[in-house]
Amino acid sequence: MKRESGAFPIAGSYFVLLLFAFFMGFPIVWMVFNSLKTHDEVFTNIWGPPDVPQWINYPRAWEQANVGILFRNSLIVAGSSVVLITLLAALAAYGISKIRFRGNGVLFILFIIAMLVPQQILIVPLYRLMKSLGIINTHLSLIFPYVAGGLPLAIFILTTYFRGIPDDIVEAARIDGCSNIRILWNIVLPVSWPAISAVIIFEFLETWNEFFLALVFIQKIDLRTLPLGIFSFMGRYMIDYSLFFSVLSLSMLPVIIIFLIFQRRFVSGLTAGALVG
Amino acid sequence: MQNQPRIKAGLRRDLIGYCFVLPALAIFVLFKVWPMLWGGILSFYSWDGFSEMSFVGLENYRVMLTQDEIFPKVIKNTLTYAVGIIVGNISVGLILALLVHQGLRARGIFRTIFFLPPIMSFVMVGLLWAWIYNPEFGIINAFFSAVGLDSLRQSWLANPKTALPALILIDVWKWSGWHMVIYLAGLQTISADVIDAAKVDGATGLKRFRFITLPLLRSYTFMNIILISVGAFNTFDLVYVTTRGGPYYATHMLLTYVHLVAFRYRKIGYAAAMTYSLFLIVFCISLINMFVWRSREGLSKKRLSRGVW
Repeated sequence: MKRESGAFPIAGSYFVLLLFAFFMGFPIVWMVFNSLKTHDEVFTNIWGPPDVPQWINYPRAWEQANVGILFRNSLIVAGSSVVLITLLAALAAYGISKIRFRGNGVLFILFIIAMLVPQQILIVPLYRLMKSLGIINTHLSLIFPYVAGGLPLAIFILTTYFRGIPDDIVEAARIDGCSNIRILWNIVLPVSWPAISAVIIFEFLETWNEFFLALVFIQKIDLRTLPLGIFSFMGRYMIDYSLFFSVLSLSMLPVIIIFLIFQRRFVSGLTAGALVG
Repeated sequence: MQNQPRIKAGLRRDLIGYCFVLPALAIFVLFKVWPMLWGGILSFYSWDGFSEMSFVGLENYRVMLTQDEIFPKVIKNTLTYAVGIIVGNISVGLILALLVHQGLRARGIFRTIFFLPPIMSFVMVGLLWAWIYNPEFGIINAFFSAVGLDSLRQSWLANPKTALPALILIDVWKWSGWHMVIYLAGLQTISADVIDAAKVDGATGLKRFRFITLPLLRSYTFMNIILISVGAFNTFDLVYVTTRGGPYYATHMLLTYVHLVAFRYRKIGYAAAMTYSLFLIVFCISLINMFVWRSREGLSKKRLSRGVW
């Protein structure tokens, strides 16, 4: 099957695609290979798969890097942030698009403008704010800025989507005596799944992978999130190289697996996030 | 008199509306709007994070522009990095999108592979690539040995000449798949008729690309460039986990330098002045983006539900 824009010869296209697939894919494969080697084999057998896969590396890595606690912390932080963002954004987007109170347009523009300022740039004033609130070194010092940083985009995506839902349906429900909360929950949200899943995936990846704020705000070892914990582990222990790769693979595999299952949603979520800035 | 109930109903409607927006607005104002204003105020003070703040006026900005010898270097690095990753990501992203869009067999597998790096954490990617560049057992040096170019073997991240290009390559590895997807969204908007008409007129593949596809993708190219430049000014994770700005400040970027000044040197007011300048740069870039993009309805219901996959 050859499509309209087939501007290049087929064989050449495959060759270039394979080249890039190797460039993009091999580092990940190499990481997994090395994670199953012995310490010495990392040096002697640079390219190939391990002679005898050392599955024992994984339980060892799990234990030594405290991966369980790191996962738990990241789940707490990313999970609560995503739930709060989605919930608050849905309420706000419904208010802006379906209740249309006075000044909703101004508010909407305020959110959009703020979307353009990444939270990382506000690190210094945020640090000062967390200190005066006394929540530095707690998960709250991450959750609040993550929610504030994620809300504008979420509100933008949901408002745009809600506006596409006919007002007649909402009005009809209102005449029937439905409260606004019930309209939102029973009528608007069920048909907005594409937008909601886009918000969830985009915000989850953002908060799950966030490093800068966590590095500055969290010093307690048992509160560290995954990227922070893995980074400090790598910096501290310089004995067993294959262990590093097992730790890396362990920490990356869950996201990769979830991605492979929900590919379509991931891509539309991340593109939706991009296409609005 | 007859208007009274209607005004009341309107007021009630407003109040309900505000209740719906209030929770989001409260968090947003406290943790985003307020820090934005505070950042500006802090930049006029001298503060070490513990003792009293003291007002110093424009002193921080004066030091930044005239005395700090590292700051111009940091700006230069950030701009070099920005140009490098724009060129790299745009060209690779566009090539991949054009190839994948052709409808070859197995294009789904290729798309999946190309989209793996964008979902990974930049911390993990940086740690992984630090091993890839490892002088002893990294695959880059092993590759040069394998093709008989032993002279090129070196410690890529420890050499001031190669460290920044090495980081640029990592960024292209990580993000070009994402820019490919954005280009794919753009390619889908080009109707087959236009291409067919050009074919009938005898335009070759290269000419069709140069005079039809590329101009029609202009707004997508523009948006990709904006996204990449905002990313460049926000670079922190990658540099911090690989080189920490070294060797000899060769890879220090704005945010890594801000982090060093604020949380190692404890010159928080000075760091605020730098971030505030950075904030203005990013804000202007994004504002331009918004105005250009808003005119073409960036996000439609259709695009979300259909996706580009």
